[in-house]
Amino acid sequence: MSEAGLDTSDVSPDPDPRDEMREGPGRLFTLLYGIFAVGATSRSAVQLIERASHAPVAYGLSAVSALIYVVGFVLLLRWGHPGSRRAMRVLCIVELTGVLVIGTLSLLRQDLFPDSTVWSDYGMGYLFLPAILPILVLRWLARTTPTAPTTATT
Amino acid sequence: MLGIITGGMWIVTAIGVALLVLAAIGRAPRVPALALAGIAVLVTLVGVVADIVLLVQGWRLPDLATHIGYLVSLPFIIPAGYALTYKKIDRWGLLILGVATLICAIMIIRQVQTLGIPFGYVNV
Repeated sequence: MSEAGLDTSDVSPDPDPRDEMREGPGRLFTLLYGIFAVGATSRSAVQLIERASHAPVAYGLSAVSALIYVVGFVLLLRWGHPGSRRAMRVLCIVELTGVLVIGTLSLLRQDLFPDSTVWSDYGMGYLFLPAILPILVLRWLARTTPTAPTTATT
Repeated sequence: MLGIITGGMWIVTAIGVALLVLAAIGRAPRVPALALAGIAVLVTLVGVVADIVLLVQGWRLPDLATHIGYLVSLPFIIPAGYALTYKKIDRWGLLILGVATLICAIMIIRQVQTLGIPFGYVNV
């Protein structure tokens, strides 16, 4: 029984934002972003160091995708900071746009892509995970959006 | 040596699938689940050692840097997955371990491909 006659039975303390990362699919997204961050960074580094002039557009875009995965990985690792949810949403939209634009360009303008990038053919070389991952993360962000606390009215 | 690497890939794949099945069931005894993941790590390490022996014996590679990249990162995939379970082997923990193990299997395929041997479609 609460004080002042107010029923507080369904009032819980503010959840720690880090808990949603430890409980749900956030951990899986962290793993996938981490692997893509390492994979894309090492891939673009090797491409740019060894043969940058062969396919500058493709290798440059590989570097951009690597940067996006690194930022996403860091955001998920440091989850709970103010703005991390909004930043992740923007990042996923940029990532998805990149996959769709580069995937389409790689099919229509093959002269620009003599070598493939992570996002070529909509990420087909990576089992389409580059296209699926931002959609899943956006869905997870939407489902876990904190609801505004309701105020008791009399 | 090549047989050890590809055989290891099939074992790691089977373990990954088993972990995903356990995740679908929703729970699994902690010790057997972790033992499965541990076997996958061990098999991966054996494959890495076999690969190093191949290189020492003079195997000619199309792209040494990329191949070494795979060799260095492979042993860390499943432990990274375990770290992200936060030691909770619940449904999501099992799913993370299963996905990490399957990614490890795909990376072994890439490891074989970067030895200059075609290995099916997968190009991760």
